[in-house]
Amino acid sequence: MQPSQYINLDKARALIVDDNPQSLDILIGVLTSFGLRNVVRKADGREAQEELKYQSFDLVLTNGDLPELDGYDLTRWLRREADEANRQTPVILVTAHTRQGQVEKARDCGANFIVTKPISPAIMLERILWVAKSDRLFIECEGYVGPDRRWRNQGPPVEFPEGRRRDDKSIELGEAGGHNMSQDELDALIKPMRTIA
Amino acid sequence: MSEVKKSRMKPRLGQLMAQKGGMYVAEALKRADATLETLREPSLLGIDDYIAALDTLLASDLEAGLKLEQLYARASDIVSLSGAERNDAVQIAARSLCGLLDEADGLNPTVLAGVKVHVASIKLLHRADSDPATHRIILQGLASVLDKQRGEGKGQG
Repeated sequence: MQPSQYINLDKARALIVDDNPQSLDILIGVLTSFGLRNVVRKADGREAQEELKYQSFDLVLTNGDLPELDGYDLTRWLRREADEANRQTPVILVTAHTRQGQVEKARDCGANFIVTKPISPAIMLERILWVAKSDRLFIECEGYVGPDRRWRNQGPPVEFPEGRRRDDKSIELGEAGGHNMSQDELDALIKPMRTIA
Repeated sequence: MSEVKKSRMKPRLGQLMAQKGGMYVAEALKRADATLETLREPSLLGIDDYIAALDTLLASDLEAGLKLEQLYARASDIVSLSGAERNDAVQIAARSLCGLLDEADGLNPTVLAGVKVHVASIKLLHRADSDPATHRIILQGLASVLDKQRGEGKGQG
């Protein structure tokens, strides 16, 4: 994410769900600061589900822990049963703390990202840019419906070099450290047992 | 083996964000920081209320399971608003309390003692401008409370 990068959220429509009114104010405050004007706010998962049945959204931001229908089940429903217009809508889950019993549920619900609270504007904007520009595969199978979760293992997404993990090696190969190896030397590296034999 | 269907995600959000107009990322972040600044005092007041709610819950004779759930919910609420604090010590302490309650096998006397230590620490750290070294000592204490409970949990398991 570059400071000089341009973003335009004027026409985007977002659904924001959190049962804590102050936390909801913070989320909406941050998003409206980014230029998002069209925001629907909901305090529980059932109300959000009803909204998603009849309206299409460009972004869903939901708290994980919610009364009645939690954010994980809401996302799972969205990916599997919602109207076609919303099924691939980017979902960012926010959570203060993920219960041990919900870690797998969080992993498998089909959210694009899970962001921990308290909300950091820089992290939130970065994740929004990622989900907006990403062309990740959308996977549908019996056990999982949602964005491909293996994208990080396929090397860095070419369009987001900053999206790499901090401990990933540099994408740049750089200059060779020594002379080119001969074929025999390469063979010896690949099949050392032959050399020993 | 079940059939796997793959398609390429093309979010409409990407097309909308690429349209002319809008603002620079730097400007968006500056605005967001300004917004959070206006929400700082209400958030700190909110944390005051949640700390008071934790005290009330501890003193109440609510059914143990329900009490545990409500203590967990209030600790989560504190984490949610803790961005308003000048440092991340309250956030770490409140998240540690969430962990303690989530992993607790009921509200036994050891867990209750751990919860009380956490609440007392959150009170000390809330709105505090004390030095990071003091925060570190408090947080190390909380980490050892959590470790002790995990150790006891393993011993029982």
